[in-house]
Amino acid sequence: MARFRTGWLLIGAVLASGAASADRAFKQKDCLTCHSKFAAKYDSARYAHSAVKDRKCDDCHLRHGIVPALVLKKQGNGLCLSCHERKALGLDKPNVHAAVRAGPCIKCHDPHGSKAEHLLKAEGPEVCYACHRREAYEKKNVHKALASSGCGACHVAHAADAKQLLKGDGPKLCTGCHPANGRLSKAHGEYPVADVRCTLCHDPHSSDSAKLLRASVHPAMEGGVCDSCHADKKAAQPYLLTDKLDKLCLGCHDAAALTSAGPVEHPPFKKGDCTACHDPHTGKGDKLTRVAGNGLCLTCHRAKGDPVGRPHPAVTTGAGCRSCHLPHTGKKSLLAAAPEEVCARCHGKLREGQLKRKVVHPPFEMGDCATCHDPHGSNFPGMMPGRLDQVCFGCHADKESEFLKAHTHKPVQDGLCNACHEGHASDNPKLLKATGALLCEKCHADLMKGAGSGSTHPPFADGKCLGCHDPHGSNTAGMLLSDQKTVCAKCHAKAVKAATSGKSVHSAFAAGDCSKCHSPHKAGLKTLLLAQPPDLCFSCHKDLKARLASEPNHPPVEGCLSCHKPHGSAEPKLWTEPIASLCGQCHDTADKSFRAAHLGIDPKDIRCIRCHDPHSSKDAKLFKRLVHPPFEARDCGTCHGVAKPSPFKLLPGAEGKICLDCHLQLEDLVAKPFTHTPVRAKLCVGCHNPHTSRYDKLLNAEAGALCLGCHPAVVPSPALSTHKPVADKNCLACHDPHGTANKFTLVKAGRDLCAGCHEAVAGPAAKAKYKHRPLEEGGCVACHTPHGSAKAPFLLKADVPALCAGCHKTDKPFFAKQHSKYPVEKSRCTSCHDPHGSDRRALLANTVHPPVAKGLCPQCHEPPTSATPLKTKSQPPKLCRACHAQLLNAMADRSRLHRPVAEGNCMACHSPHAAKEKGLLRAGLGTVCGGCHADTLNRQQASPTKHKPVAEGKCTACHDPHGADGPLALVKPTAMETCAACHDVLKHMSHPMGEKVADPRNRNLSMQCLSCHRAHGTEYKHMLPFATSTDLCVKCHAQFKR
Amino acid sequence: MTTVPRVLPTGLLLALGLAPRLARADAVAFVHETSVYVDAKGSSLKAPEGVACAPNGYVVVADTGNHRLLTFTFKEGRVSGGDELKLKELVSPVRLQIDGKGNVLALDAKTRRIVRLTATGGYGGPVETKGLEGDAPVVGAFKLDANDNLYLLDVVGRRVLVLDPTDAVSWQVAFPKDAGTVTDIAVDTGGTLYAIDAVGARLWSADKGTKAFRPLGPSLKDRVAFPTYVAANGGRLFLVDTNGQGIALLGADGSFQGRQLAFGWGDGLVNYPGQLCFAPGGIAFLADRNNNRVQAFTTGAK
Repeated sequence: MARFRTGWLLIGAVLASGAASADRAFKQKDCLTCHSKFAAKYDSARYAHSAVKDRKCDDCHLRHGIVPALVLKKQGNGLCLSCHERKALGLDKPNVHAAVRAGPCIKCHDPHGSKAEHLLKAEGPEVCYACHRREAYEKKNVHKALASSGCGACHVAHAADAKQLLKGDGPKLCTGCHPANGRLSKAHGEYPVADVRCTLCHDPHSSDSAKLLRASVHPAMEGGVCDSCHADKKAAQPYLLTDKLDKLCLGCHDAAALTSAGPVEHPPFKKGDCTACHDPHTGKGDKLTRVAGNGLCLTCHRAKGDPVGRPHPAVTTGAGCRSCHLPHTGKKSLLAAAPEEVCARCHGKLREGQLKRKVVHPPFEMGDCATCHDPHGSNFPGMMPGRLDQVCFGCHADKESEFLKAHTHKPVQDGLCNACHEGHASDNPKLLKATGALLCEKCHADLMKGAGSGSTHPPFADGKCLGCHDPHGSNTAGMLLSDQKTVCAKCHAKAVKAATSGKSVHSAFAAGDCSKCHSPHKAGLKTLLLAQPPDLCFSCHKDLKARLASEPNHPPVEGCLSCHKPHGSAEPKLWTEPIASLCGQCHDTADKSFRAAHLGIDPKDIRCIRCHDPHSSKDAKLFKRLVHPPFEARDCGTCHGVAKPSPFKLLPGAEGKICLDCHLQLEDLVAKPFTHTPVRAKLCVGCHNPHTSRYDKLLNAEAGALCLGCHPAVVPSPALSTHKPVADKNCLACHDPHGTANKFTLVKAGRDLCAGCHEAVAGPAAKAKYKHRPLEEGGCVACHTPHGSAKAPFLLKADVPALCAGCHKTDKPFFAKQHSKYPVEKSRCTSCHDPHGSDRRALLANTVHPPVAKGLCPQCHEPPTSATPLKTKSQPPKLCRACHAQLLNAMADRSRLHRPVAEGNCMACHSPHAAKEKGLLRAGLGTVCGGCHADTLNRQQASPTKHKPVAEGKCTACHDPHGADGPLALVKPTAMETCAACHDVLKHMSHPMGEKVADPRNRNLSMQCLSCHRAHGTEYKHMLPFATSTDLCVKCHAQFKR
Repeated sequence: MTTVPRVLPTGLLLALGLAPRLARADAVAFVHETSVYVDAKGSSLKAPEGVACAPNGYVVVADTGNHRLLTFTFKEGRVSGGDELKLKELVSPVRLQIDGKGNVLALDAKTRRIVRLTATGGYGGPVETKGLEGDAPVVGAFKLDANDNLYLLDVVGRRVLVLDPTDAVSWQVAFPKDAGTVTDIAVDTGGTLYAIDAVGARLWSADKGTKAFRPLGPSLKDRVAFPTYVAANGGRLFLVDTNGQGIALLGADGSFQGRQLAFGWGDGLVNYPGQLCFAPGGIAFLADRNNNRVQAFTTGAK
């Protein structure tokens, strides 16, 4: 029974879980499930957007799935206008609010909800003050309409028929509240002002004056005597002036007083256009000026009002422009006095003091301050009209190019001429701020502080900085007067001569890198050394340092100079004396134990470093890394005799044979038909050290270097081509060092050896229908040299066609007939023939240009009977156009041509006669494209994830080799379409992609394949530009950044 | 500026008081200032490849993908404006220069010719070389010097032609025989001409008036990938490494002095950068082609 009950329970659970999973699969989450805080915020808002109220988030937003992102259905105002019709908002009217025209709706409105009406972001005028400066609206007397009803009393929000978004035109708007009745007439001297623009005299927002009048009022108007200028109030045209404007003004204002300041007249004043600056009724500034302060001047002299980083206080404070200029007449530039006098009003003390100094800068002396300063302010320090050095170069033009050097003095580079030179006057020559080292000390004080505790370079101690350095710049590091070797040799010529006349010279010394060891200024050590040996030496000899750190050292190694000279020596390896006597300084060679250890060999005959490492070794006796076992066992007698007179010589007849006594495995090799000469001569020590060695297999040197010791001429010099294993000194790639069954002790015979690396050539050659006889009979070396060639590329024994002419008799009639009677005997045979084999007769390359295949050579070349038969009738692309006009025309119509196409250089990629590749390409696409775009292919090679087309050399899968309308010559209009040719982008992943999905990192990009991948690969997996996908994702989804 | 051999350990440098001088060696540093994404009407830039700067803060952008030029003003660290200049004679503008009179010269990638635009934005006609025998040059790049002499890179003639302000040929220098693909030229204030071979990553220079280029240092292949633009400014050469996504700094002697910028999509990063120009105050504008924008950087370069 219990089991029965359990069964039903299980069935019930399964059914229930099935229903639940179906529920999970189809139920869509509500937005507020996650955005509950958002809901709480806007549910409490006084006004809420209808879509928010109805929970219709989808009206505006696209669902974003598991990737959180704000994705709107439309961008910008287009989203709002899809519900709020333009006409309803009045946007079809002629004057549209700039905030609506240029900005988003959400600049003023909250799209979800607000406590202000119309979903405005703030209540009343506050929302307007976000853009409009509130000071203009909050003066002492505020227009009642503004105070009570806000800006909306007179203006509409979005657009209007009237300018300035006014609800009505001109005075009609005002008369809505201020009716044109007797009261209004009385207040305006009975003049009919109902049709006159009220804002001529009144500020419609706020004013510090009564009746909202502007800052200054014309006394005639204030006194109500309007008819002193205008016709009578009851005249048909009451506002007509009673005389010409200038005469009216000068009727009251004294002309002589206005013109007495100087000969230069302000143009408006000269024209009698007083109202250009003054308002005849009220003015926003004092003296009835139309605009207050500098603003008046800036209405015409607009450029002077541009904000600057270094304003002139005279302009920005006090009287402003009028600090220096007069409004009606004045001296030059309407200045109140001569320029130097105007400047001297504030800067008089400076001028007076500077003029007393010994050297005065001519412009300063002449009082021409504006040569170097902009009196209206500038963005440069000192109110310079440009960067300081540019100002200086304005007069000192020759210096600009003189100072342009690879290593420029920092102040010169930064354009700070005033770091060293005074601008006005100085007591030193060249307006220098100080002389000699005192000047340099200003910046280099730390360096120049005191003498070195150990040594000081005399020119440095004497403050003769310019003895070595150019103060402005030079093309040598350290701003030296010339290269270091020359500068130092000026004083140290004898030392240089002595050091360079011996057998060995320190490489740093030979290169003139004196400062690698010596300080040019001062040092805590003697002879200006930067550090004590061996630390100083280790800064270059890093390998030795590492070795010394890992194994016991020979004690003298602490003092490199005890054995080596620092600059040059008459002995090899910079030794201070011959090696035997050098070692003898410490090792008593007459001592019995020494003699016993060295088999009584005469010390003069011992070359110590043959067995011992002079620097370090893991061996107590400083033997080199590898030690021959008999030597280690001190079993000398096995190889050496003990009898006099040469106890260290090998036993008679023992050469070679002794080695084989132990190295039995070599017997087979030595017995091979072809053996290495030292092996044949039984001279094992030719290559091996029988005692100790630092190199594997007890070799006397590194393998490749050892071979070159006997075979130095294996590669000709200069070589036009060198075999890679030879260049890599990897001789053993082809040769056995002892013996083989093959000539030259090659590890494999003939073509098999070459095929090991050159399968791409050897494979097709072996399968070719028509084979080249020399290759079949003589192998690769029939045409190629194995090491290097001084005569031709590709290791050829001679260049083509001379090489071919060795077998093919070019002077025979048959040869001419086969080549349509063209004299091709000096042409490059491989431009048509494949020398390794082909499936076409005459070894023609597999793809042949149709005119060549048909023997129609004269189609491109001049006739064979011509004086210049091989000359083409014209040059590409004109020549190619004869047949390929359609293709070339199509190319020319593209905006962006591949550079070889633009150059008309068809032959850069194509062979004109025959080729192994389709399209007559000179080589595979990877090779042809890689000729120029090696960087791109290298990137792919280094990429852990390979992009198939790139890896396979199918560059044309994505790029058009001739050109396109886009910059990367893609075969499709966009990168994404190009990718989609192979990849099903829609199935790729769930991440939103496409033109409508904005890239959060860059507003001008949409999400596409290249937003995350790089087409030619990266150093990371999946061709991502970052090490992990997380690193990539958080670039947009920053909230998940850990 | 002083450089110190790399072999000296840092501790030793500090002890010798040389470290501050080392720091100065990297005086040029590109720091992002602002980016230009849209024109005056709010329309996005598309694949801009060219940008030119004038000393008065006037900046012209070749909005190549939109087949137009845009004019901006740079002042106080802000870029304003963005008015459009569109000419039927200029379909694919890629390189720009501004002459001393404020005229804009633009290279059209489709016609491979240079057209002039007057300071007011009107069409000023194409540049027609005078006094040149043979075929007209096919222009791959061009530059102006301080005297408004025009330097043309003739990709078919494999030479640089120098035209005086009347467009008459006054000087020409053939490409070096072993130069690969010369993609751009530059001229410094001293009149020295530079050419960059993108494939070989080699720089060449020719002193004013000479008839041959000489190599300026060894190949920079281990430093740059595929440099397509070179600018001379303040005694330095700036190579725009388009495929290598950055800028290489060189001394006037071709010595490598470092790299700036890196690949990316955000502000301050670049994606196939194009033309580079320098505005007053060491501000550099860079056409950031595949990021559809122009970026401004403070550089410290003078």
